[in-house]
Amino acid sequence: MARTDLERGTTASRLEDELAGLDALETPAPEPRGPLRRVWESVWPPLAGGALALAVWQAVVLSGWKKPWVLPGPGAVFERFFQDLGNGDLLEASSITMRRAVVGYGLALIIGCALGLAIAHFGLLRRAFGSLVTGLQTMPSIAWFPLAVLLFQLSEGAILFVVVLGAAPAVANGLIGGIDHVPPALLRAGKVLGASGLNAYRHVILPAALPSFVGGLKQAWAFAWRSLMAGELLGVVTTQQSIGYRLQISRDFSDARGMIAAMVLILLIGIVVDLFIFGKLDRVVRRRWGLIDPATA
Amino acid sequence: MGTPIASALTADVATSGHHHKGWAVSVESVSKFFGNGTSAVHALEDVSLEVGMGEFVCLLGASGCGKSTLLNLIAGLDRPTQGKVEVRGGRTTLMFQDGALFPWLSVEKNIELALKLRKVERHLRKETLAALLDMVNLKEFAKRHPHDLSGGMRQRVALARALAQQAEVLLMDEPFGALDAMSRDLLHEELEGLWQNTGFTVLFVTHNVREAVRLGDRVIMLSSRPGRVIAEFPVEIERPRRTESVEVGKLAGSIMTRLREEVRRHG
Repeated sequence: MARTDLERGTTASRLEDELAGLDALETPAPEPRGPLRRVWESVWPPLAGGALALAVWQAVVLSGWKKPWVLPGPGAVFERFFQDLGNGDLLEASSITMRRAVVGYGLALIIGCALGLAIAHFGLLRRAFGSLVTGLQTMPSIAWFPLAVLLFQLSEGAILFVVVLGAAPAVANGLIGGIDHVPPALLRAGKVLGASGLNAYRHVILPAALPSFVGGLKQAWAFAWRSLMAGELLGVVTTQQSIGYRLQISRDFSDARGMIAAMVLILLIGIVVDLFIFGKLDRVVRRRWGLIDPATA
Repeated sequence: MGTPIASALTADVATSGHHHKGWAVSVESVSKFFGNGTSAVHALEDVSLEVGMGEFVCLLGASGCGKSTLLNLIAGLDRPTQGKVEVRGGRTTLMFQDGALFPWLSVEKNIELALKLRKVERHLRKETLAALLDMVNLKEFAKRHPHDLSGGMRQRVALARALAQQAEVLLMDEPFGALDAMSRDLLHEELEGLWQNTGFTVLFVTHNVREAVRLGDRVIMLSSRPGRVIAEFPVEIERPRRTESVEVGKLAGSIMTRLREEVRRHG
């Protein structure tokens, strides 16, 4: 069955057309919903939830269970909140607290990554320290403070020490978990492509571990934030008006409105950082890695 | 025609796949055990086979015949317990059933990584990449990620990535096993076309008898537990072949009968 060049050409283009047709049928059509609609769909449930929580708070106050100077309602608290925000008190407190958070978290990141990489790579280190790192994560950070104060006195160092101890194990665990669960098929593929040693880490292992690592980062932030609040609340450093310290002072002066206003700030910062930094990072990575169904994302 | 892929394409068109200038892969009395002592698993027993330069050989067997083990040995991912594996036909590359693409890289970055790891210079990479995307008809999907693609498209990316390694010996581990009949049919045609145009050597593992007859110059059958070569069938049906053709069906039928005998032995 001798075929001419012309026939060969048409066979090739027929195959191309068939492939293109099948490809078009098998790739999902773009999402029909508009961007405004999507923003609204992601915004209204948390807004409704927040409103409901405020309503419950208001109802408890109205029931007369506690005197209003012990448990003020949301109206009074928010009035105070915006007043403290307006005169710069809360901003100053936030900047002191956030500076500590960033420095502590940054240190925890560096230490946690170094620790995680070393433990994941060397079998002996893993057997020696693997369970210790997991154990550290379950230790309540407040239990470290007496030791921290002994070591660093009442200083910034003591707070930093506890923040790092709280957050670094979570970073390390996220990294170790990610490296442990790299799909073997991808490791084999990397080997076949000639990625060995550092190249294997750079092109295969670390990217594959990223979703789990981001999970660790998110958890580490929660630990760091809690440790920091505990440290500030204990009055480890009293020369600066941090958020935690304001909380403590308000309690000492029986200033319930100021106290709850500071609590609102703590909650807001926690939510904003979690949602807009780590939540977003998590979604971006998971979508890019194909770990979420694009239809529900 | 400055790119390596393009020049490979033109250089070998004249000598299409059927010229066997000696062997490209030689497996000599290879045995493979996993584990040791009484719990050792005997995966391969005294397997000997040769794949000619530019030949398309299909390895066929039921479950547990050590097909994947054999490919790993030839790819150099593992060592035989006894015997000798030699590859003379240049570099090997291995393509997996699930493609094993990196999900965080786009189609083009997946292919480019193979070039990068071979230390192809940046300006050459771009040209080669374009040629490869064109070969597997995926130019429009270059920026997509693997999870946006169908199974058949992912396997074409995997094929392009394997070709990017400029390997002369292509080892394929049930690459189309998970695809629907339509995609598989088109991919058979595409693979056959690429093989005829470039003249690389293919060792293709499958458990699908018709697929083996559709693609191979030769079909080698392995027994199960342990894997041994038990039969060999030359396929003398003219190309291009069709999976549903009478000739393919007839040969596939007689190979199937032999395979069933082998499976009955384990009943």
